[in-house]
Amino acid sequence: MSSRGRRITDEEMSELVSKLQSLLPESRRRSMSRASAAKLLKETCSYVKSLHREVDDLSDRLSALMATLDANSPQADIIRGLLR
Amino acid sequence: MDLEHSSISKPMIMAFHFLGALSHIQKTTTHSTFVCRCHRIRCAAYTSMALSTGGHSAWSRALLRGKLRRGGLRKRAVILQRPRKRAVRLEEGCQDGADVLRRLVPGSAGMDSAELLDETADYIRCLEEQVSLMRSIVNVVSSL
Repeated sequence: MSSRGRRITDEEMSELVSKLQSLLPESRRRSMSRASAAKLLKETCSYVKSLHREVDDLSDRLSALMATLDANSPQADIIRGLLR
Repeated sequence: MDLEHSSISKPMIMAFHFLGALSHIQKTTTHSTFVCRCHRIRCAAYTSMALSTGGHSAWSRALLRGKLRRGGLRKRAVILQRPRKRAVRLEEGCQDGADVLRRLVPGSAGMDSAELLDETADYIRCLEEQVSLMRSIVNVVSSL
């Protein structure tokens, strides 16, 4: 990246750490009371990956549900009415 | 409170777009494969996420640009043209984590650490809302 960048100060570092910690949900934050920025970055990355996986998984489930809706007429009409 | 933004909330905009897309997918994929429909639902999810932020964040613009350009949706980082100010550099141990994060958050490849964190925070919040919306829809539909 940019080789002209300045080094980070201690104050900015601790600001970074607290910001990173606030990104994570409560459940993941509990186990790390005093974590380094590197560890928090890793945790943030794995959290984003897990959210992507959840979106994929929920898309699978919605797709399966829509397939069953096609087969099942009366409920399909209700759903279509709701979605319209 | 900002009057022009208070009337329709972000989650409602997201729900509106996503449900509209689902309705369209329902009509047009009756004879498609499961994989095809699943892919379209996933695309609809990321698009409605991006649309609900109103283009205020780089990740949403990158997602929408990618969708327009390729007619589909790919999670690829787009390097934005921005004035190169003196970037904040992290210490050595953090660079790898920051690079991984830049690959995960769309549109963040050219950012320095401070901007990257702001984008990540916004992206995570939106992802959580989208997940919660999809869960509610799955619950409603599966209980019928």
